[in-house]
Amino acid sequence: MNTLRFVRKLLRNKLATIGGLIVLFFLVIAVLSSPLAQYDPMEQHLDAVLQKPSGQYWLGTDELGRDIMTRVLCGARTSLIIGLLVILIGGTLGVMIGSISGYCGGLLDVAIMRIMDTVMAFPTLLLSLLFVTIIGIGLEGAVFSVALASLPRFARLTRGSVLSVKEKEYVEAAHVIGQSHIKILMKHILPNCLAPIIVLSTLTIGNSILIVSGLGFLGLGAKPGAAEWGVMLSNARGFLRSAPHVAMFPGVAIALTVLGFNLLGDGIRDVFDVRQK
Amino acid sequence: MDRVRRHGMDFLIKRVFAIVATLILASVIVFLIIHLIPGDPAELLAGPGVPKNEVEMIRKTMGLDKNLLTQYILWFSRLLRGDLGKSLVFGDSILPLILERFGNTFLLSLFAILLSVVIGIPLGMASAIKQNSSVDISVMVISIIGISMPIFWIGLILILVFSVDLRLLPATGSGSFAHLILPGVALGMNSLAIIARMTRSSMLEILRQDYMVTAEAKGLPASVIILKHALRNALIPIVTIISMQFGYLLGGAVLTETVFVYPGLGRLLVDAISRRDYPVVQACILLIVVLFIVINFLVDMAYTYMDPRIKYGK
Repeated sequence: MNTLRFVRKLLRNKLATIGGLIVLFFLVIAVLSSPLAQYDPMEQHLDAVLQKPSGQYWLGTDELGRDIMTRVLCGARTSLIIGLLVILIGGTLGVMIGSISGYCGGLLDVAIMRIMDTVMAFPTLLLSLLFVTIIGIGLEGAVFSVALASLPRFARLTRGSVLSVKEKEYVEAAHVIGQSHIKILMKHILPNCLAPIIVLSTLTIGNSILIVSGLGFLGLGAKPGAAEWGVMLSNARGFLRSAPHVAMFPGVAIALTVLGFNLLGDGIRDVFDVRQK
Repeated sequence: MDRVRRHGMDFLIKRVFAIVATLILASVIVFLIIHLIPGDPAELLAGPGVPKNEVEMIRKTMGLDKNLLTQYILWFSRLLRGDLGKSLVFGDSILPLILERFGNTFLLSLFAILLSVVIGIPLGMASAIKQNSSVDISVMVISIIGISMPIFWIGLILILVFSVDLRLLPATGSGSFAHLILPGVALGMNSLAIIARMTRSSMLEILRQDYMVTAEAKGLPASVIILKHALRNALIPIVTIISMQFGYLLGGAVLTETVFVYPGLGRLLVDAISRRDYPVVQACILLIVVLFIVINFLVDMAYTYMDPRIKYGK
């Protein structure tokens, strides 16, 4: 399917368009967070703590007088990087493992899929916690953990697609003219497995942002005080009574971003007409 | 008839083997945690600042000087005897601690799942029956928002509205039914949305079937058509999703219990991770995973027997 037709079909889906716009908005903010921000995310104004939203501090200030608007904007960049890294690490490794498993078949396939099934028997958040225990507490650890936790889904999906594509005539033809396995896998099989992988990636970005911010909230992700949405919410718990607005904006930011990716992912799935379990 | 039954037995035995294999593999993964953490397992299990000779003693008594397979077998046989080790922080044996906490989490998850089923299924049904109506669209929009909202943020909002502003319900703690309501709602929100969506799509599929037209043509009352013909047939994917959600709730309780300072398994797990209390981490993860696997298996089995259309074997 060419790109133009794809985009046109996507735009016809109202919810997907809304999702796409939210994601676009989020991307622009994440990229432009430094020039857009009025202050430094760590800059303290101790004469203006827990201020309500005003002309000077658009979304108010937190308990150390840091500008919440600035911190929410910077949080967008952090979350964008988190989402992309998870896809880059977990997605790439998952696709690699899945395609090897599906392409080689046999005992290797059975062994890999047995392990993937077992890992998938762990709820995602629990699996992420397991990896955090091993890798260590911190933002890097959290990102790696969520990436590893999302890997099995990519592996399973890719394996399934590879299995169905590898019996096609054109793959047979490539074998006959003596192309190498790597070349067949990369040039003939994987490009035809892309649609479901793209759908899963979109949905995984949203979900990863959700889980990594959850780890931040639990004190197992980004450092305390960091301009990360989960950590900001965790801080805000202490001032729920006196300054409820501190807890509002990071939460809205997470929910909106995740909503955008979910709507977009659902839309892309409808356009590609991929059925997922 | 006999053949069917024999095949059913074969299938059951096969499934039981598969589930046992999965459980054992899962226990291997949990066992490996302590060996995958950078550092000496004996030192990790001794805790920080313990003198060398004590570390060596732990290495001996725990069998950490043996090879990995022997260690796993030793660990697993202790596990079967209910010996989950001692907490590095409290020094107490883990089993009673974890069981007490688990009771709280189970209660919370049960309340959350009941809530999401009782509200989610009717919402999904209403949505499917009046497809593309304003009811349908609003249920679907609300449910996708529900899926996207972080549990911990829902929790904070609930506390803000019902405890801080309206002073109706307690924000933190445990012990009474009132303490369950807010965490239960926060925890159940995502599942409610997912169950509503699943009910809707499953019902839509059924409503398109020929026998629905027949039922309507026979002049059956709408309530009979919807409940007896449609819902009953739509139920299987819904039940699957519910059983999966129950597992996710046990995991999601980690966040809810932190927000509401609720003394459950999830809170215990998070505390144990930040205190590097590895035996407790292992025990918590193992308990949740085993439950998750077993519940899914039981549900799977239950509806295989409920619905004769599901073929045995593959």
